[in-house]
Amino acid sequence: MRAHMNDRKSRIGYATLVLLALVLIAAVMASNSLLRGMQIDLTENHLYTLSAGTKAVLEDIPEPVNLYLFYSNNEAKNVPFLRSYAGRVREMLDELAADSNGKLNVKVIDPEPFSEEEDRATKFGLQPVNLGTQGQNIFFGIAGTNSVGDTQKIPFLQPNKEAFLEYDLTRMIYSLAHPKKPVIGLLSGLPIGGGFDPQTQRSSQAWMITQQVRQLFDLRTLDKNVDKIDKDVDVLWLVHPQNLSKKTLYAIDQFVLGGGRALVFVDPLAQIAAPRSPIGGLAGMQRASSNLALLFKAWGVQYSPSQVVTDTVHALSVNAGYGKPPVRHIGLVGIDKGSMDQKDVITAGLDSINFADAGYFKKAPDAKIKFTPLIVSSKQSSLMPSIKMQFVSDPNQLLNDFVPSGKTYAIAARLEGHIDTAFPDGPPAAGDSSDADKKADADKNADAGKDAASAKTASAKLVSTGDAAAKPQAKQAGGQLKSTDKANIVLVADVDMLSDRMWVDRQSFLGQSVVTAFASNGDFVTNALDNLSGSAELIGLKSRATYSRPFTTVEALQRKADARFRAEQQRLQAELNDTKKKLSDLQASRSDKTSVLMTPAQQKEVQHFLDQQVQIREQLRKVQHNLNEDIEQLGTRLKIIDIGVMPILLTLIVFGIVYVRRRRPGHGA
Amino acid sequence: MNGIIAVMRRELRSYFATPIAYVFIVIFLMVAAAFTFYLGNFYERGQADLQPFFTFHPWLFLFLVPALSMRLWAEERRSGSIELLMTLPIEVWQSVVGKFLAAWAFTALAIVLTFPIWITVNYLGSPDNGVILAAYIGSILMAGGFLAVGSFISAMTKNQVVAFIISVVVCFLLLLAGYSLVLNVFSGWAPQSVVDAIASLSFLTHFQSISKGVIDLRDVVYFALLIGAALYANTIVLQLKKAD
Repeated sequence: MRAHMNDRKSRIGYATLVLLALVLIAAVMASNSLLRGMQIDLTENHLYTLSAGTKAVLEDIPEPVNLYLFYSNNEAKNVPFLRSYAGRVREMLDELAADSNGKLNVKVIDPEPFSEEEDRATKFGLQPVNLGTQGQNIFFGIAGTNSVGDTQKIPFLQPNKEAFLEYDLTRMIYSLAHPKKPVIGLLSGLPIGGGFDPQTQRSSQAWMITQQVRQLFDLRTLDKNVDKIDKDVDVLWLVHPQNLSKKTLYAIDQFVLGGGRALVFVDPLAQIAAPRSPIGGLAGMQRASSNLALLFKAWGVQYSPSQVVTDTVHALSVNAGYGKPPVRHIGLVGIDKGSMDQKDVITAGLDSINFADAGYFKKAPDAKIKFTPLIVSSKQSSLMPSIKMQFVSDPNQLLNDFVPSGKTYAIAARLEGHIDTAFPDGPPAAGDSSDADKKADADKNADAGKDAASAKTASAKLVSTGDAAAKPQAKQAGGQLKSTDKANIVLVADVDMLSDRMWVDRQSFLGQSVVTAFASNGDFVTNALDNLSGSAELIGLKSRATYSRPFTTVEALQRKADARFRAEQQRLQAELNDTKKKLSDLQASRSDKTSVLMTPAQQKEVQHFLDQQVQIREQLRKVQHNLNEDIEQLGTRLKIIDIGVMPILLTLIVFGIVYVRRRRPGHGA
Repeated sequence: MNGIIAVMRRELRSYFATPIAYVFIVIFLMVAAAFTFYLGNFYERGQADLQPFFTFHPWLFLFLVPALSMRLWAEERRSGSIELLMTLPIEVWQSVVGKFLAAWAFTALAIVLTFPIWITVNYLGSPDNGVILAAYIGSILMAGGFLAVGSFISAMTKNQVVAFIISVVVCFLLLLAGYSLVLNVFSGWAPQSVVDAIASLSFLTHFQSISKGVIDLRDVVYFALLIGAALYANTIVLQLKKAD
C-alpha cells in the first residue's frame, strides 16, 4: 500500500516538473511580447534610447511617411543572430511610430519567395542575402515612402551596425518628411559627384560623402565656368577650386555678398589629385594645390597654397611595408574632439576627423571678418612645404626634420560678419576669362595700398532692418553688391578629408558591400551644409556611437618612445654621416698621391672607420627595436598583475577577512 | 525569512571552512584573466572595452558553476545529513532558497573580485563604464541561472559526479538554446512558435543582450523566472525524495 502511494506521489511529482517546464516557457514567451519598452540604458551615450534629436524630427513630420520592414521571418528560421536583431529593429520602428503622433506608419512584411511582396522588395532596391541551410533568399531591409512618391531605402540591415540604426532611420525619415531639401550647389575641381572624367577617360563612382549629401539635400552640380549662381542655391559647396575664371569668382563673390552661404574646401596638397611620381613636374604639382586667393583676400583670410600643417600629437600611423612596424605620418592627422570647437554646432559632439596634408587659415591682420577656428592642430605642429610632403617615401624622414612651432594652426574655420567685394572696380569685363587667381597672387604685394583705398570708398554699410530670414541688405552700386555684414562661410584647408579612404571602410559582409564610417568626416560636411542652409534639425541627429575607444595610455607611450628614440636615432645618424665623410675624405686624399698602396697607418685608419660604421649601424638597429619595448613591457606587466598577482592577493585578503571574523568571540569555528 | 538567512549563513560558513572557496576564487580569477589576455588578445586589440573578458563568462560558468552546485544537495543526500535538515523547523523551500542564495552570493563575490581588470581597462583608455556595469549585472544573473539549474539537478542524485556531468550538459543546452545545434532538433517537426519558444530560453542571447549595455526588463524577468522555476522544481524533487 505504502509503495503504491509513493509511486503515485512520484508520478504526480514528475508530472508537476514537466508542467513547470511548460509554464516556464510560456511565461518567458509572454514576457517577451508583453514587457516591451521597459529598459535601463546604461551606455555612456544612451545609444539605445531615442535621442532628443530623433524625437524632434518625429514631431516635425508634416505629411505621413511610411516605412516598410521587409523581413523574411519564415526563411530566417535558422539564423538566430538575425532573428534577435530583427526583433530589436521591429521594436525600434514601433517606438519611432509611437513618438510620431501618427505621422509615421510602420508595416512589417514577410516576403515569401515568388510572391508579390518579394517583387515589391526588389523594386524598392532591397538586397537579400543567401543564408540558411538551403540558401534561401532572406530579405532584411527597410523601404520608406512619402506622400509625394519619394523613396528611400536601407537595402540590408547589418547587425554590426546596430548602434547606428537609430541615426540611419531618423535621417531616412527626415529626408522623406522634408522632400523640399536645401539646394547645395557643388562647384568642384574633382569628380566627387562621380561621372565621366574627360581627362583620365574614366568614369568613377560618386564619393561616399556626395552620396550621403545627396540623401539629405538637393545636390546640384555647377559648371566650373559658371558666371552666375542661381538664386535658389542655398549653399555653395566649393571643392578644390583651381584657376577659376574671373567671371566665376565674381559670381561667387556676388553670391556670398547676396546672402548665400558657402562651404569651401581648398588644399595645399590634395593627395587625391596629386601625381604619384615627380615626373610630370610642376604641372602635376599644381593640380594638387588649390586656392581662392582673390576671394580670400577680400574676405580677410590668409592661406598658403604651398604649406602643409604637420602635427606629431595627432599623427596617424601608416603601414610601413611588410614586416615593418607601422610608422607615424605627421602629415596624416586625426583630430579628436579636444581640438574641435565644442561651442560651434557644426563640430560639437563630433568624434574625430582625419585629414591628409592639410593647410591652415589665419585671419588677416586688418580684416573686419569674425574668424572662429573650428578645428585646430596641436601646439606640437609646424608648417612644411608641400613639395616635401608629396614624395615622401619614409614618413620617419618627416619626423627627423620636424621642429614644433609651439603654435596651433586652424585647419577649418568659420567666417562671419562683414566682408567687402573682391571686385571693387566693378565686374570683370565680358570676355575676360583670365586666370584670376594667378593674377591675384602676383598683384597681392603690389596693390596692398590700392585695395585699402578702394575698400574705404565702398564701405558705407546699410543696416538690415528686415527679419533675419530675408537675404541681408548690402550696399549696391549699379547692380553689383559691394559688401555685406551677414556673411557666413566655413573654410576647410583639406580636400582629401572628403575622400572615402579617410573616413569610410568598405567591407564585404554576406556578399554585400558594407560601408562603415570610422571617422566623423561625413558628419562634419553634413553638419556644415545643414547649418549653413539654415536648418538645425539634422545636427541634433549626430550619430552617437563612438567609432573607437583606443588605449590612450599606450598611444601616449608610443609618442614618448618615438620622441625619445628619434633624438637618439638622429644623434647616431649624424655620427654615421660624420664617419662616412671622414672615410671618403681619407680615400679622396689618398687618390692625390700617385702610389696605389696605402701606408699601414692609413690602412689602420680606414679599418677603424669601417668598424665604427658597423657599430653605429648596429646601434641604430637596436634603437629601432627598442621603440616598441616600452609598450610590450607595459603589456607584460599588466598580464602578470591581472593574471597572477591580483587573484592571489585578493584570495588571501578574503581568507584573511574570514579568519579574522572567525576569531572574534561569538562566532566559533 | 529567518530560516532562509540561517541556512544561508551556515552554508557560506561551510564554504570558507574548507579550502574549496579559496581554490575556486583563485582559479576563477586566474582563468578569467588568462582567457581575457591570451584567448581574447585584450592588450593587442587596443580597444578600451571588456568584450574579450565577458565573452568567456558563459563558458567559464559552464564548468565552474556546476562544480559548486553539485555539492549543494547530492552530498547531503548521500551522507544522510539531509535528514537532519528536514527535521529543522523550516520549510523545505526555505532551505532550498537559503542554500541557493549562499552559493549565488559566493559566485557574485568571485565575479566582483575580477575588478582589477576593470581598473586596468580604465587605466589604458576610456571605456564605456555603463556597458561594463551592465555586463557585470548580466554575468551575475547568468551565474544565478546556472546555479539554480545545477542545484535542481544536484537534488535529483546522490552522486556528485553525476550531478556535475548532467548539470554541464543541461547548462550547455540552455546556453545554446538559440543556436542551430539545439534548434535543429526541433525545427524539423515542431511549429515555428515552439522553436521560437525554445530559442527564447537561451542563456547566451539574454546575456549578450544585457552586455550591450541595456538592462531590459524582459531579460531580468527571464532570469528571475528561470531561477524561480528551477528552485521550485528543486523543492518538489526534495519533497519527493523525502520518502526515500
